[in-house]
Amino acid sequence: MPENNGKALFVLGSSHRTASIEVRERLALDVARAEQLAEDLRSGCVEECLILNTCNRVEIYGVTDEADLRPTLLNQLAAMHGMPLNELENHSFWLTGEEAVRHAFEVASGLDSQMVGENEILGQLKDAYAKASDQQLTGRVLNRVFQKSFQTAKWIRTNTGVSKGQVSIGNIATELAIRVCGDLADVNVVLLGSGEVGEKTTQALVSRGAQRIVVAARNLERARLLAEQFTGAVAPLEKLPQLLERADIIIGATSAPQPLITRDMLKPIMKKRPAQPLIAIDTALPRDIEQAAEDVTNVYLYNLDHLAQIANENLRAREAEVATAKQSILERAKRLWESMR
Amino acid sequence: MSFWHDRALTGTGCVFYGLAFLFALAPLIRRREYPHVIFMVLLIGGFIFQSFGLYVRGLEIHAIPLSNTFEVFQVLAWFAVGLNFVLRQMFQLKLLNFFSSGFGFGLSLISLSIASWDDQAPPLELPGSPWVGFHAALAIFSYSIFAVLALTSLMYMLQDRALKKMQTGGLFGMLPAIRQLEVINTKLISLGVSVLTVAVAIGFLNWLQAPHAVGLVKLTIALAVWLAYLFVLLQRRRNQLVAQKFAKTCLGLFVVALVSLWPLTQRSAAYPEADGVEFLDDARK
Repeated sequence: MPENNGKALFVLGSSHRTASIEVRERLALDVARAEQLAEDLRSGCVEECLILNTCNRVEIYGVTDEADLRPTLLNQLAAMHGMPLNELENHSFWLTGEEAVRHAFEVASGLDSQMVGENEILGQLKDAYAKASDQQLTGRVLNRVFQKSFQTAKWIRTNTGVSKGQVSIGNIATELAIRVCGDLADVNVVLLGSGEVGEKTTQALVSRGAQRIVVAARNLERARLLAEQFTGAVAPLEKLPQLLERADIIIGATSAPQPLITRDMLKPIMKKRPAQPLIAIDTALPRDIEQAAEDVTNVYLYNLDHLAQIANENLRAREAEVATAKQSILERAKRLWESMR
Repeated sequence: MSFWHDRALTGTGCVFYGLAFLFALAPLIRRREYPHVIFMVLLIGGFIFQSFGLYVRGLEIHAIPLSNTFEVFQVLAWFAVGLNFVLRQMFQLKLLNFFSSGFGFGLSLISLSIASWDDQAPPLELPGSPWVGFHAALAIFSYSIFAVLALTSLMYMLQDRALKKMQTGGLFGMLPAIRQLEVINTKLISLGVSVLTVAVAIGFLNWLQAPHAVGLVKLTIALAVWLAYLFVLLQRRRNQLVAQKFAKTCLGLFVVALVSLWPLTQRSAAYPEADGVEFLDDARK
């Protein structure tokens, strides 16, 4: 393991590169559990710690002087998620030293994202860093790595074409909605929850003409604030069956641990409106809409993996830019790691 | 004017349709938009040549040329392409003209390729009574509506499949929305069945005046096609047949209807060529 004054930088993670959407659902951490895990690690044998917890990745960055911390961490996570150890091993990655630095740079630059070049991840990483820093979980090594990773991300975005003509989940979802519904002016949009990606997706729909928005959530106060942005209405989640009967577009963005919309729930509803197609964009993880719902006639269901697949197909033209950016990151990571040794 | 001239004109129309289709197909395969002006010049050129060809043919018989399989297929292609021009404008349907160019080319090419379909024998019953001609023209017009319905159904199926398989760009991005196609398909089947019902009613009245002018096989096939479309329309109205199943049924039914045109346009072996006119003349007495 490459060392830094006797201390090793590591990252243990699981993302769309190592785990399917089903496994990512099981590995997803809510805010409270992520905070608790960081505290536990910090009070254990990890000297510095930062947890990046997004819908597509759970990554633990840390600094330790333990010779081989990996088995301990894996055991701790396996117990936490109730997942067999070997399964967790198969769906996770472990990087150390310069490789961990390079990985942090690639994550910050959006090169490791499911939708290559996306901007959202930089904000999420900055938030995670700010939170860890406020809680004094980070120290000299992680501070340096993450501050440099933000600079690198900025350089990549300014000097390469990776983020040019960026495709976002919102734009992809809007294009799909137009292909199903046509003119968006007279469609009924139901936003479930108040997740950030769902909010951005709804914004994209509104910018393309959608006018009738209903925000359905458990927390009606938060839903009301969100609905005001779109001059939309608010409804409790209990009214979901009634909302579905009229909906043309459903956006899932809750943090519910179980699907809110199932195939069995959707089938009788779609029978009542057989000629009216429904497009369901599930931006939540764990998912809000059961995957089996796509079998219901006239339902078009897309989850994060699907949206990323479409986006990356559109991004293939930028493969040369990605290669340039990766080369640059490799050199920068090497320089930083050597300067820190 | 000889038949060669009208075949040459319809043949030129066929070449233009084919050029228009291939001209648009090449960029679409590469997921790019095709230059619309050049495409439309080729398509309209094909329509004009075909119109002239049918006009010249019509001058020979002083009626709309529907006396053999070649003419029926040509008129069907002509109606369908013409109808597509109108619908393209009405519903702002991208790509409809691309599909109609392919349809016009395919139908025209088949009818030109099979020489036996264009025998030079005197035309069948048509000049005998204007009502018979009107019935035939209306029936072929309704078939052209079903042809457009088949094209929009094909577009529906392509869009549905592309959305399920997450295909984007090129042809898929230009296809109309699922909801729009569902509405158009419903309107088209209503219109098609209405026109065919009028055609069948007129045909029935003609048949009452001269029952042996039409063979049992023809009668059965014509009624079966009408009943099948009527059934599909009723099922659609009752929301029993919607979305992809409806589109598949419309496309399949049109293939059956198209194949049925061949026996429908054959002369009845039991009757000499001029019998239809005589029977109708008798009926008028």
